[in-house]
Amino acid sequence: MARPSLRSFVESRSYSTHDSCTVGKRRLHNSAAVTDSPITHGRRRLRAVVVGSGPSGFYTAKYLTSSVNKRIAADRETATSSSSSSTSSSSWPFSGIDIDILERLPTPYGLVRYGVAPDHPEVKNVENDFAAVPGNTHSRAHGGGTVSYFGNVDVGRHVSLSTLSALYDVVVLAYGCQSDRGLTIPGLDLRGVLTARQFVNWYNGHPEFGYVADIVREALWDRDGNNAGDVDDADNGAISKAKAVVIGNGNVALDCARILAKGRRGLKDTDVPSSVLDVLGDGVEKVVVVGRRGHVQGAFTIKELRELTKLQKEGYDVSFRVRQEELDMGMTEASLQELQLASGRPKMRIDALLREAAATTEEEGEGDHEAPTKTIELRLLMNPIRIESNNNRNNPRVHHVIFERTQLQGEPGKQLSVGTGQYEKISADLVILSVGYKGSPLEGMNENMFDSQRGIVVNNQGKVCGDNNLFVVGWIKRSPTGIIGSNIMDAKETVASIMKYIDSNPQNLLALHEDSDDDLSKGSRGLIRHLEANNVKYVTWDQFLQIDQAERDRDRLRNDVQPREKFLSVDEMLACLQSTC
Amino acid sequence: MLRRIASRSSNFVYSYSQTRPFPKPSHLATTTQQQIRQHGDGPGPDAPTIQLTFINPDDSQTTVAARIGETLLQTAHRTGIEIEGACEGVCACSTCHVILDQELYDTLLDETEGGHLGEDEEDMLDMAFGLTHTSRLGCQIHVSEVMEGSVITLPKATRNFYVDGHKPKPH
Repeated sequence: MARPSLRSFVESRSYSTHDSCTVGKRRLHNSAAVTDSPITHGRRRLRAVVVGSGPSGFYTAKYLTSSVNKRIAADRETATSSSSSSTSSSSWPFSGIDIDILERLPTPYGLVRYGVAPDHPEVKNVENDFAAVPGNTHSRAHGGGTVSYFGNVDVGRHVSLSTLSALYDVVVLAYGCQSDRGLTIPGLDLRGVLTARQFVNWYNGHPEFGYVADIVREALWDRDGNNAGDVDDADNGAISKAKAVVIGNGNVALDCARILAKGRRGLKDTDVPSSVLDVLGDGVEKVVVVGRRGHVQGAFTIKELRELTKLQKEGYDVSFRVRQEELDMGMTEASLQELQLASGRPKMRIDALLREAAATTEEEGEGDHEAPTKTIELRLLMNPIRIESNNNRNNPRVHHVIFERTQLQGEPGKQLSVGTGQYEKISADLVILSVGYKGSPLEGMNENMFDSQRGIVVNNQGKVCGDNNLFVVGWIKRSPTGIIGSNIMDAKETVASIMKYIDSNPQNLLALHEDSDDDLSKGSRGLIRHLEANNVKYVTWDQFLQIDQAERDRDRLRNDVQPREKFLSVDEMLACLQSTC
Repeated sequence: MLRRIASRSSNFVYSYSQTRPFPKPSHLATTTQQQIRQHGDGPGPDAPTIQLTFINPDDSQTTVAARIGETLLQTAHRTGIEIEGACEGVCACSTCHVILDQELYDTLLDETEGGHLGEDEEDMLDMAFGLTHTSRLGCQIHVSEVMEGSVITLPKATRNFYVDGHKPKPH
């Protein structure tokens, strides 16, 4: 299939070297095709496309629609108040905006569906807000906008970035981070070592991560590697005697630990797929979460930590442990100063919480009351050096991880962990690396557009640097940190840049797409034509709603409160549409 | 006054040496679930109202009639004030973050159980964008007569996302 690469697309435009990152400097290269078309010959609708349907994509669609509507309303007001001198030259040349959201999978919501922990259903409530975006805008009267959804469309494969750039006035990249931050230690390739991204996607039922099941099953239930052992125990609701090590100190690491420890009984009321529960059994006896630096530098937030401290009380049969001496070791002079900063409040509260947990840990050790069966332990100031195998030539597996004790050195806010030469071996049947996600360039992206060190698209307040109509939002704009709410300010910033771009380029936008609204070759209609020509079976919003409904069908659910039983493959989702569910 | 000491406003920069810097964690004292007030339909159009003024992120002001008994988040959604409520008002996100003036903050704090905010609200505020000494979550404030004429400020988008000083490379 011949498709124009972005490179050739980009190279066809002229570049200026000195102001390559200013908003609204678009110049058209092929000016021969552009006549001085007057702005006033009838208004048209703006066309925008958002690549990715996670929180940043949906917030962008929502705010872009409302910004354009406000702009039009304000314009109308000025027009009526000065109607006597009715030259329409001051009025905005656009009558509304139509936004298409593209998604690689048939189902939308990105990390809300496949990242947010299944035992945090309240966080997923935001799906209802997003679901109103395509619905509401359709019914608005003239001047409003429409938001359409195209699932199962892989940008780079089904449609190139350069094609989108030509079809739409504005292209917003919101495709998030699809790879992992590197941790380069020996032993990463051993069977039984997973990245958090693999593990999280798997327990959330992502269609591309079903293969993880076998790796986890082996680690938890076939630790001898002879396949004879306790594989059936998972189904019998047994607790795995396996030991899991989660490397990393962020909320994702805590999510992984909690899911491993809770197991079937703790997760049966969530949307964890039943096949995943079959593998988890009733959880793992021992999970150790290990961080390189101290608790003051940890990336986790207090809600997730507090949740761990409450597991026992809430009946999950899991105790939480943290060592007083490790909390003290991390409390360097610089750490103390970090707590004093204005931004130190959350850290201060985390410190108080963990100290209390450490005290409880010690009390528990003394008492003779019955201890919970399962444990999550938080270890700090330990740097992973290498992952070692069981030395079984026929079936090499992870066996333990060697850590080096670290100490903190450096200025407040810039403390690094430095090795002390003391080593500790921690047994592990399963190792999960949770040291962060990383963004990758989209296929066809010009190398200047991507900062491969940070794994983000090079941008200035959401405008992709260079002479183009590309914008960026979310993790692929600001690197993979933050919560759903972080996307609100982020999307507002990108939308402000888009509005600035539109306002400073109305002639160019009109010239580029000088056609009227009836033109079949632009916007949604152009996209549909392209997809149909290439035999892409895209999924519409209504079709997604069908999939959604089918997943909630009572016959599929294991009990009355399970929110949904997800389809675990794209084929299953699409088959559901053909059989009209 | 003991309650004042327990409030965030006076505790913001206390020294680490204090043994119990924050109010006793309420999971040891009360069930936090009770403190979470859900975002329901709220009182109907017949409910008595008070006047509230919102200062929007662009510094414009909007004065609205807030119904007694509804949450600030409900007021905002009902009157078109732009506050998100990603978790639908169950205190599980920080997107309905609002900033009160000191007097209103103190008044409302005095009315809470134990004179301090619920643990869940405090935990969520820790993640709020642009946290201040008088920040609250809109879903956890119920409109009452004492709020008549109050001014509620919405946080501003001022953060540059290149927080670490990274400058885009020219090319």
